[in-house]
Amino acid sequence: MARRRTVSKAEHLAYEVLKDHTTGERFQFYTEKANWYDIFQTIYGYRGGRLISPYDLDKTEYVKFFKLMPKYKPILEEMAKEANKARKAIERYDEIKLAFVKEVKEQVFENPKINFESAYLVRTDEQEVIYQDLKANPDKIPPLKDRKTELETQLAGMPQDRASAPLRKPFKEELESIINQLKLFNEA
Amino acid sequence: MATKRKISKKEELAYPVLEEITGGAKNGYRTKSGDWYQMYSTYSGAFGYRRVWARLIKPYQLNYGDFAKFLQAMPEYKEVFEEMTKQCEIADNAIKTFDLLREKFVEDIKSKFVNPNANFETEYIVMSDEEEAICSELKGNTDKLNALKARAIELQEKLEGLPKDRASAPLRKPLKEELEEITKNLKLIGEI
Repeated sequence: MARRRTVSKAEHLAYEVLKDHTTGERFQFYTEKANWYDIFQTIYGYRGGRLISPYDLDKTEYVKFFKLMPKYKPILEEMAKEANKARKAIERYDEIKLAFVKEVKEQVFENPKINFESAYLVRTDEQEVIYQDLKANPDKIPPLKDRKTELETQLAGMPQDRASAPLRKPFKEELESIINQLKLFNEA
Repeated sequence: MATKRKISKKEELAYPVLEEITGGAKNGYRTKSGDWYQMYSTYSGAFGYRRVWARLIKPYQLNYGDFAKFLQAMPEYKEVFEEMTKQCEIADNAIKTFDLLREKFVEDIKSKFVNPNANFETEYIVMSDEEEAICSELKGNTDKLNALKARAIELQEKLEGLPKDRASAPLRKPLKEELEEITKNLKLIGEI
């Protein structure tokens, strides 16, 4: 079985939240601004109108229309006002959302270029402490690897019978602990 | 050549306005309510896989499930999400109001000035003021309309009863002219 990557609890929770509000793990949690053009689009592809803006009402066709049917002017003005309100709110929403997704990717995700569809394990609090320690001090990893090799050699040189089990136990336990630590970085 | 349909000046002016805010002549000037899913999604790939990159967030969602867990672990993002839901709410309400106003407007225009059964993609002729006066007079007056229809039948019967020879042409002429005039008027309001 392939080794699973490990992620922090924060990253795991961020996946769950981002899943519904970005393109999800399949498309690298991608997000972009709203497509105004498509807001009234049907699934069959026809566009059921567009959001008008107050400037539109100065166009010739609207001016002519209002001249002959002035009672509709306030309605279309109100529509343009509401459309403007919606546009502003969505622009603000997009702005906040894009910034949020960017920040999460930069600060919470360990590797933003990973295949997010791959399976992962969530680190326990204890593992997280070790992980952060090793991440902050990468020079601790080579000695751990050396110690691992040393322990493996020592264990191989020991008698394998049942009577010697108590002798092997402390070495085995240390080796397991080192392997668990190295696994967090896919180094074991 | 097929007869072109006749429309009022108001209908002619309503078309370009409706074209912008509805699905246009091609789609019978139908409207569709605002849709976040469409606004934040696109087709990609040869199999038309739909990529969605945002969904409307409601304030209550922040207290449940994934959001609640996430915000508990990272409370620094709570304000961000609260602001996002606030903006979503403003936008959603504005779009709903826009849709409501638009629906009423389009319905009103369609019921008053537009023949809802017409094929809007066909060519048309705009009625003259005189024709429009006849049209509005007949539309609001059922009695007159029925009288005209009855007169048209009467004239047709009379014409059938008259001799068809050349000598009788002057006899038929006034009846024919009256029938033509009535037919023209009835056509204006789509009764024949």
